[in-house]
Amino acid sequence: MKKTIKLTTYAVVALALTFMACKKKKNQPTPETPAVIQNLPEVITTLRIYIWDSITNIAITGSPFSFKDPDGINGTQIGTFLNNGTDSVITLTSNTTYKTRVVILDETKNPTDSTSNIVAGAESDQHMFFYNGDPTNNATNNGNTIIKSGYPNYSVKLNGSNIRLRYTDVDINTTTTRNIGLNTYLKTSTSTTGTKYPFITTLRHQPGVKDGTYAPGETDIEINFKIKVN
Amino acid sequence: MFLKKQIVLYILTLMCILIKAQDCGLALKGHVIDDDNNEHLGFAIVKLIAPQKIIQTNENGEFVFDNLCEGNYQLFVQHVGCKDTLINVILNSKSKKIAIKLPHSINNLGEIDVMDKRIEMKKTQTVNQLTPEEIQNSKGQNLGDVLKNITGVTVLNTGATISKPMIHGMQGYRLLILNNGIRQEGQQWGNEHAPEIDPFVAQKFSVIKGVNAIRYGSDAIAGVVLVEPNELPDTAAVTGEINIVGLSNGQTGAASAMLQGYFDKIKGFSWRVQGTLKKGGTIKSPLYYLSNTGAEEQNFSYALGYHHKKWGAEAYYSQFNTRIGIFTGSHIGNLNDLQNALTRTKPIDSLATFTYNINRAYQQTAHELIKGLAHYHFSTKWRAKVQYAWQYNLRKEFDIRRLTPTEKETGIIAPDLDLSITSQTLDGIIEHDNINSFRGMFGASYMLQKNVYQGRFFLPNYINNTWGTFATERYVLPHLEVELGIRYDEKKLDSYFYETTIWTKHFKSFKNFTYNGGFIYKPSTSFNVFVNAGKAWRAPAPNELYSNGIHQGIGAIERGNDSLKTETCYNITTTGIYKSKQLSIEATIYHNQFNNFIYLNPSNTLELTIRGSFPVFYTKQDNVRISGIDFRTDYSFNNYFSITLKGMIVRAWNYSINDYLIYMPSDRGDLQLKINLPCTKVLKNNSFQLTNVFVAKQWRTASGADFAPPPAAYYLLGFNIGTELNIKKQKLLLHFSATNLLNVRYREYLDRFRYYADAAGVSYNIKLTLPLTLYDKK
Repeated sequence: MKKTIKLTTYAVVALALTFMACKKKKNQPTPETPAVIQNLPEVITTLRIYIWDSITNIAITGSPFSFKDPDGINGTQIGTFLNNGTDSVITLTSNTTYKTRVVILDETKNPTDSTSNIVAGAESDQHMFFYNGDPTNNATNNGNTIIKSGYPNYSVKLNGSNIRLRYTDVDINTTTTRNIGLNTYLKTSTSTTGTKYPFITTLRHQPGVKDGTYAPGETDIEINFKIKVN
Repeated sequence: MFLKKQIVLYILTLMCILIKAQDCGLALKGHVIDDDNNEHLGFAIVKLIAPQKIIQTNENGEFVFDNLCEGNYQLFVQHVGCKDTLINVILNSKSKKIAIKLPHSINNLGEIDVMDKRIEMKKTQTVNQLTPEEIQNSKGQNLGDVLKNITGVTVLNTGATISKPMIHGMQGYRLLILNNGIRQEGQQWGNEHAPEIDPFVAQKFSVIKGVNAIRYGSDAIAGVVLVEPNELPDTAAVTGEINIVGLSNGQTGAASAMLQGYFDKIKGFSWRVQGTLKKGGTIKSPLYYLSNTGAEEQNFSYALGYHHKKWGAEAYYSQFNTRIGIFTGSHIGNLNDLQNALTRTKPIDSLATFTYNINRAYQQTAHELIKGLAHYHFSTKWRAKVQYAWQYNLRKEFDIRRLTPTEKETGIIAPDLDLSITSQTLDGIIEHDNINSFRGMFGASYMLQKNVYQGRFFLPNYINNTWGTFATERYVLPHLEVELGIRYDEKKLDSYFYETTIWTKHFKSFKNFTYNGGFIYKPSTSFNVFVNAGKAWRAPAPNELYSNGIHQGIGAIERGNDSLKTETCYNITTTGIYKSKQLSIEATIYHNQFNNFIYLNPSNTLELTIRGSFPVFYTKQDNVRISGIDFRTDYSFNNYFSITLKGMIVRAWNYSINDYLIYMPSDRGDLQLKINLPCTKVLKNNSFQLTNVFVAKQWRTASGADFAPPPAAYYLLGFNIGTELNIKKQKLLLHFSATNLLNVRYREYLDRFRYYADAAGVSYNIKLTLPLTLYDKK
């Protein structure tokens, strides 16, 4: 009995010692050596909206409207609007229909990486763009009046500018297809007599929870553009 | 009253007699003495645990328990200023007389000393230690929640699975945790970075409240938490303990086993091996599951000790591994997401169901400790100790994000935050026992710490060199002890990070003196007063100096400030303790006056990013004060019924902005009612306990400094039923308890997830403890 116990004891100690071989990183860098700027998995630096007249196919003045954050969300540099300083205003004409197209880029990569390819393609069922007309009403209908919910052709009226916005693209989910919002139609009505209204462009990342509404998931991109109808 | 007690005693005795009459009628006589100076300890409280009997020693330190049966007994001995001590006594067919040596309440000198004789001086602050009962009741919880049993200690939570201890409203860098005698060094800067310690390793949890800088380092401002295993065995035996814990909420299971022994053949050697496995799934709040709140842990440790007449040595290794899911509802992309989350009554994914799977976002941490110590006794008065430790802490945090094509292909996902910190500490101490009523110690310590980040930048790489030296002396009189201490520290910090695209080195150096003075006044053995005043300081930490970027999950940009000066704290802490047979009262009043208190301050600046605008928090220094009161009262009506009342109040004020300091615990109290049930031969130590926790609303908050108003006050009810099964010589401790029994919906001000969801609902818990004796030479 005594012998068995002693053997067990030694066995347990031996077993414990084998755990000692803890997994260590090989070639652990030292503090002095410059940190490797890793190919960060996700950097979005730039968003551009191209807007053109749906009939004449002529791009409107200022298109594409761009915002650039040179080192992305985790960087230290501040983002700016490229066209008109801090207040990028999209100017449209009354009673006209426009087409829009959004492009998102990673300009830290060389050559520039287009993130919109992922959003439009393989992961289109995890993403959706929203265009917000009233930031004070963000939580409810995303600052819009919903004209048509669900798929296809999800469409809203932006409260304030009274622009009607219709989605024209669809995602890859074959069972419950939804719109994406990279491509839209904008239809203006009367002139807003020079008043600028919000046109907040938001990309929502909704892996596994995309249901055609704003609420699920979290925000990947949010750019506060302004819009005005002459 | 007297008669009543007699009757109770009589019934108790009768119960035991009835079971096996011929073995009872034995007496256990004892004598309680001070381990330091062999003084008789009169009026010490001696509790016989099963059957529960409480008596007090007479003036000569003697006590007698009559009419005991044959069997194993546990005695719990308490005396003002001394360490609460639990000892086992075996009563065979004869009555027995034992001597109990009580060590002083804190070991100022050695953390673990394998020598039989040790000198331990009382602190001029009191030491609060968890009782064996409190430890038993909190098994299966993480360290922060275990320490919460001590009044004055609260926790800063990130949901139910991450908790950071807070003493008097201060945490992180201001609080020092000594794990088996070694400064715990991890990534203390984050509120979501809990200490990487397995509570199953330890049998002793103590908290010293107030500035404690001389002995432990200048930065022990709020206090010190000591987490210690029992001493290694010194008698030829192989013993162990198995713990099994099941918690209904989260369907959490934990199992821990320990085996220890003393080598029979090779004299002087003893050993211990210990391991813990823990796994929990989705936690449920009263109305919904909190998706992705699973957690798992794998820990183990082993120790080897040797002692000889004049010297001893010990080696210790431990490893802690954890993976904790971060509640999906707390994941926000920007400030609008946060504001939307605040307006929701339920989190967006409230339809989640139970699972053990942990998805992104999660954090994964490993902590390793290797320790070696040696001590030598020059004479009966003088001894020295040297201790070296190596610690490695690896923290990886994984966010919710799009995977790169390579990550998708290989399935190997890069962490978004990857920090590894290696710390080496060397301490040397020389101490002396009574020489003309003087006791004291001198020492020096050195620490070399290296931090390396990979991936996303938040915290720079750094090399931290710290050294310090100290001396403290005490003059000991029968009713008064006076102590003075001084310490000097120097810290050199080299930080490395990119400034735009250039890798730059930044050097900082801090040095300062620390002083401490205190006295213990002992007008009688039942009443002691402790007064301690001290100055402590802390150098700004690398994140406070240089952090720059978005703190994920907070929705804010945090900016360090490289012109920060040292933070200085002047503290005075006074404690009064009264202990009698039935009543014990302990109350602490403290005041901390800070110059250049370092904290994160929200600014009005919003900064534009591709993900919208974010508020910027700057590290700032202000003059503040933190003061308050803690108290604890225990009263035993009789052998059956006792109550405990605990409470704490913290008040903090920022002089520079004339407003409250945020993130301070609100006023709270805890009322415990305990009924001890009569013992039988098989069932001993039977108790039923009701716990009532009251937490007030924290309305003392600075305006504009928080994203949401503080949550409402709440009340939590719980119970605990415990027994000790004795079958032949084998014991089995069984506990059944419930927390948040009424399944109340509540949110705690100091829980980061209060913005998003309710705290955890009811949980029914089962705890089994099986002590083992595999081999005993006797």
